[in-house]
Amino acid sequence: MTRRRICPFCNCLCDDVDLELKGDFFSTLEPPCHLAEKGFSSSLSREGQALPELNNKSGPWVQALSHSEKLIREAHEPLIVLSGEVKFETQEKAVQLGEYLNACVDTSLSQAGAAIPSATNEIGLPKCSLGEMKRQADMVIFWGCDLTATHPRFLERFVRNEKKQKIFYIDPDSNDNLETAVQLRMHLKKKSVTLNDSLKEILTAAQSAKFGVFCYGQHLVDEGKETMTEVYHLIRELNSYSLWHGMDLHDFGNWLGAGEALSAKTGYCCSVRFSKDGYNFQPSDWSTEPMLLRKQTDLVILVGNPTWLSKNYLSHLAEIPTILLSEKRVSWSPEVWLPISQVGVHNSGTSFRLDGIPVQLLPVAPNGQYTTADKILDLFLGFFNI
Amino acid sequence: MIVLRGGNVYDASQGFEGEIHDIWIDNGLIVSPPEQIESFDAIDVSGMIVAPAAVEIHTHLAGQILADAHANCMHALKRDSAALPLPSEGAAGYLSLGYTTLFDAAMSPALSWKTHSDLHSMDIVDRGAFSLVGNHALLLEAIAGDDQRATEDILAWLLETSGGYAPKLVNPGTDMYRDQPGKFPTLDEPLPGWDITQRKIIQSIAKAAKTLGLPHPIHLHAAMLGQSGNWKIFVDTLLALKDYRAHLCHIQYYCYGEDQRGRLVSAVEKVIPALLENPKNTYDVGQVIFGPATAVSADLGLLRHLQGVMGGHLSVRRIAGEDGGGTLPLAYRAKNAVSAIQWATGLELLLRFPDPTRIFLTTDHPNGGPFTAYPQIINWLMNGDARHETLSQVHSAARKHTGLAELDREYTLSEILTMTSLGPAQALGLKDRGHLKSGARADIRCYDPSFDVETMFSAPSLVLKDGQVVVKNGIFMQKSHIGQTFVLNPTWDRERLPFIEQRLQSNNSIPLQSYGLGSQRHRKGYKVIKCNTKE
Repeated sequence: MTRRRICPFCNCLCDDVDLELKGDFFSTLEPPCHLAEKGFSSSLSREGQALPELNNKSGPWVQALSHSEKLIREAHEPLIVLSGEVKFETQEKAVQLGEYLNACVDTSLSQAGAAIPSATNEIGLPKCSLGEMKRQADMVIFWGCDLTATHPRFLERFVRNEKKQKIFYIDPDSNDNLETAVQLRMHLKKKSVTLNDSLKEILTAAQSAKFGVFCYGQHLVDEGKETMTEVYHLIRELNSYSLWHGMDLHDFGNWLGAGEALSAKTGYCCSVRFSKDGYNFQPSDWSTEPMLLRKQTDLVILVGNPTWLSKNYLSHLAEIPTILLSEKRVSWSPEVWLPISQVGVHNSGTSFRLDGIPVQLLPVAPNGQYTTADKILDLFLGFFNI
Repeated sequence: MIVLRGGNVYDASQGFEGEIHDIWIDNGLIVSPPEQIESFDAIDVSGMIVAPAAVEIHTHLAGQILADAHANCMHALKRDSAALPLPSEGAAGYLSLGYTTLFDAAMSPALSWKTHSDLHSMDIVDRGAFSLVGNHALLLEAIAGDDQRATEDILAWLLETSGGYAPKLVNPGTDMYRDQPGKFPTLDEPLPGWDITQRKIIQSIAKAAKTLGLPHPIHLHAAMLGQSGNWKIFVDTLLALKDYRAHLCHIQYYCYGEDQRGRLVSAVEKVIPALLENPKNTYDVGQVIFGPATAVSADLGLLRHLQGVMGGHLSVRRIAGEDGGGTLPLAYRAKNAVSAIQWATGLELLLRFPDPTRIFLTTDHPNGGPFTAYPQIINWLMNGDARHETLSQVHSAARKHTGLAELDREYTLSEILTMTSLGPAQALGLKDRGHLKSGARADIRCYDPSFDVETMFSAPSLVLKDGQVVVKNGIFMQKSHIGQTFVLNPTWDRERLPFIEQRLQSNNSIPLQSYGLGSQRHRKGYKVIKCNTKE
């Protein structure tokens, strides 16, 4: 039977997906999307992944949870890393656990020196919902995005409209994005800079657009705070001409939810250290990457697979006790792997769309065989009677 | 059973102004003194001022826009939690001032899940939120089509689906002027793209609120906030609502005239007659406090205009088909003419308006400043000398261009307590609080009397919530979940749901299953307040 579903696999959270299930597989999925097809195939057909692993050896849940409890109790400097694989409700519980343990809690927003939160803090950012972009945008710029990899249906679902808007792409492989952003700003302020023809065309069109959206991706974010700050300045300065907005396409999954879960407790979306006296925020000290580099933590609890960490940091993870909650096995070896169900396939939950709208995901194929991340966090909290 | 023994009781509903009474409490409610009782606990409050706990009718503590405001001020290793508290911190702060009931004044239905998540974290107080409906495409479509029945149904659906307590209108219809910052439409100007005026929107929704029997009427953020000369359109707006009941918020910002050079002056005296004209209306002042503040508003045109004038980093969220919101750091400076006039105008308004059951103390937190400044404002209201001393220290424009200097009125203690409890409770339709009659919730605050009014109001000696001592000498005694989120169950035609779902997808691009409360609906801690369609 074909039913209308919400796809959970990138944070477009497309709600127009018609999925026909046949047993543990799907027979049709419309409209086509390679991420959705891959995700549903993989999640629906999971076999033999229902048991946890301890140092790469499969074993009973009792053993894995007992060992997890031991690791957590013995840790002096625990780090909890929230990733986009799990629902908001689970991320909330992980923050609660971090607060109790006086742990550091971090999210993917700390990457590249907390580039995004730093730029937001310094400049501010006008945003719009995906529906608003669909209805109003007459110009969209993509910079540093890899839509095919991260948000395959973004253009068709949320951009293209009857306005036949202008769509521009700034080369995602360019290595001088900071310089480009500076030049665009200088040109906007009528300072004499050399701008190539295509950038001139983009800027001229942007000044005359009525409702523009600037979509930026991972290639831009990777360059760090300085580049993101220049881009945010540019968006702000374009608002002197017309309405311009930023939209963050740097990653997929519920990474916004992770930031919201931590922010709801502390006001900060990443890099928080809890202590007896409360909590503090410092990206240079309490982000995942520097903590791993400096070997500053003696236990890392990864709530969701941290796909945003580069391989360099993953090798550090292999050197310290780690507890990983994820749907699939990973290439590096956590000390404890606790397999979890996929939200929006096996169980329900709230995930944040890339425009910040919280979306209620319902299970496509409820499966009690798979443990939810939520249940595992409840058990962790239960270790301490929280 | 508990008795508060020997306190000096202030309760405007019973005409008590400090008479000594015992207050008996059983199962969270105030009860008549029992004829016979075997055991009870007594709390000695002799010598203390005993009054109903305070009720906050208009604040901004919860929701996505507040989260955006926090993201705008992450530079400090530690946030200034007094200026911009988290929802749970805000609730604790209010409770420590004797407030046991709070209402968040602006909730986008599309983001109500987040607002309710925050409201649940405020579980030490009773709370609710007002749903932003004035720019909602579905509602505007019904109004433009002259379909009052559809207007009622969609308003009811919006309140139900978002868990809103009342309809909030922020400069309704003016989202259409999104690309014209600084354009402030009049009440009767046809809105771009629609065959309706702001007057029609306000009247249609006010009428719908009346038909639905909502406990709190439309909560209106009127047009041209903060603009010189806006008193005229504000008076027009009041006249437009003469057949209805309404609450108009932060009205200090609408009491401005202009001098010959177009500069800001107070026009409070011109507005007062219109405020008094409709006895059903209530107001909150939106008092400005010198120091840092944060603009948090769905009035995006206003925020863009403010940024153009004052600078600062603006963050905005536009949502298709309805109000979004934005945030902009601000500061009010005593030596700045405009800030000083705004400060003085708010106090002038409070001092000229005679009825404390109809005008309420707010700072529109955090827009006019933090709610923690309430004791300071109360001191200015009760202590003419303190007020005049501050007036002498601020920019002289406050003395020249407002009527504050000529006012000697000093609020009595009874008036302050009424303005902060009975008045807002009645305006909100909450019959079980704001007074100390038998049957009321035992939400009570007690003060050790002092001539230092500001210190006294900063720290009640006791705060009781549902008959339990929750704050004692500044220390929180109660950590379990004791508050509830108030929601409504208005009646509407469910046959309209498929149409709503289809229009929602078309206008807002949000699936119906994700619109509104979603999974928050299943949490504990909700209390349904009944709508009274017979009123």
